[in-house]
Amino acid sequence: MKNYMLIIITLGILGCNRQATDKAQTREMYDAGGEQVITTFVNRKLQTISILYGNEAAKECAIAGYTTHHHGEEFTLVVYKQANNKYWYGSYINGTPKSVETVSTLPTEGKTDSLTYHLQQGQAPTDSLGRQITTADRIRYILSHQPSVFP
Amino acid sequence: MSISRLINYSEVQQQLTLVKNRQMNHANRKMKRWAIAGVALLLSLTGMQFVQQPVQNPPASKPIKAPVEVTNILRRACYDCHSNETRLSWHDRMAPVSWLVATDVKTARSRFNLSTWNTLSKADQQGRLWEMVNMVISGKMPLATYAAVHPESKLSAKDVAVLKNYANSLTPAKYHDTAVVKEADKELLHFKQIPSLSTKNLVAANGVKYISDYQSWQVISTTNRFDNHSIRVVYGNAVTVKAIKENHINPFPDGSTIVKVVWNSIDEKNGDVNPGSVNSVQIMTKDDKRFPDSKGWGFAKFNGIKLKPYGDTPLFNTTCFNCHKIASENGYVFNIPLQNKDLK
Repeated sequence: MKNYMLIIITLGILGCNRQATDKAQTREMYDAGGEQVITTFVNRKLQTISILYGNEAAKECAIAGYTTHHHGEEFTLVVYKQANNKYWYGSYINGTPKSVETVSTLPTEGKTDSLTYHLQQGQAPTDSLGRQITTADRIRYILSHQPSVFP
Repeated sequence: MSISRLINYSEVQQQLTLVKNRQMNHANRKMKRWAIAGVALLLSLTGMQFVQQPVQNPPASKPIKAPVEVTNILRRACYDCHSNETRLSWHDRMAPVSWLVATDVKTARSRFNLSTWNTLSKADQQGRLWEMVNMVISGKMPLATYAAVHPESKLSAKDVAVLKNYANSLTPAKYHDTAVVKEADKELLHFKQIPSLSTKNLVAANGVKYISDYQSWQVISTTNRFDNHSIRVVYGNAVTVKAIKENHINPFPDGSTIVKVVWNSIDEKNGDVNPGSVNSVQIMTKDDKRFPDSKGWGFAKFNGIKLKPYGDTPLFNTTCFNCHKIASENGYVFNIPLQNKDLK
């Protein structure tokens, strides 16, 4: 009986170790669902790398300069820590994910086409002095980025 | 002694003599064979010397001009292969070693030649210099076989720092580059009016076709470079994404395709780096049968907003692959996501 217990415990530990090794070697990629890239931008002093995604309605809004919002827009901002690219000195690549934030115009509390903000993952971004940013300011910041041209 | 004993002794003597003679004949035949082999080897070695000319050194017509501390390192570690000033020791001139040396030098000079460096455009010089720095950092240069015989060519951390600083000095950031800003604004205005080009028949010289639906693919990474001031989004098709998730990247399976959209970056003093005008769309696609000389990878680059295919002949594929050898551990792809263990 004792021997069986020992075997079970050993297999359990080996299994856990294998899972831990697999997890350590995993390469994560953010799945944006049906949203596509509107733009990417970086701040080398803050060491952040960001990608702004949006659905079709959001992309149209961005191309029009964010001046008018329509029902059904969904924007997602994913922010990463900047990392060195191990294989090319001269390049940075997205590293540890810091936050995932969404801005949308889904109707909420009886209002339609209002902009709503959600922090989906990670920590709420702060300003350069470490202070919390208001929701309104954060929405303004997210929707301030000129869309990139995709040939 | 009886007669029968005498007869036996003489028979034994005769037998012993026969055996000795047989042994001597065997030894003589063996020596003859070795002698023939030796002569044949000597004749072959002598003949080899006439088969190929050792390395020639054409004039150094447009040599690199760089600070002394940089050229000292280049002369010590790179010049023997990557210039027209190859120094050959006596063993480098003897075939078959001379054949290996000649091949290495020919290949090296075709990659870049420090004696004709100033025939290259400034952009090409900068590109090749950064490639040089990265080959050194990755340990791929100087070649291990060369460094074994020329230990003075091995580079110290200080040497690498000197080369890095020099490369950085050639491509300083230009803050809020108005040319890039204006071009970006013009492209966006045009894009608003005509959202996409017709890309139906767009194909590179090596047969790699442009891919128009990449925006619906998974983003695998985003990168930005301070060596050539660009910012990028890298997409992978389903085969690539599966390979990355399962860590089957060495090699990537056939059918893996990666599209990288590159913009010239607009750098600001506050640290912001934003995409500016379109630089290019670059593609890697894996097909072992079509591209056997580049570990199965076919490359393509479509330049600018008008997506002009880069490369007049299929040979450009080799140029792309040569640089990608630095990422051989990653299946020759530079920009796959970091493993969780490397995230800090």
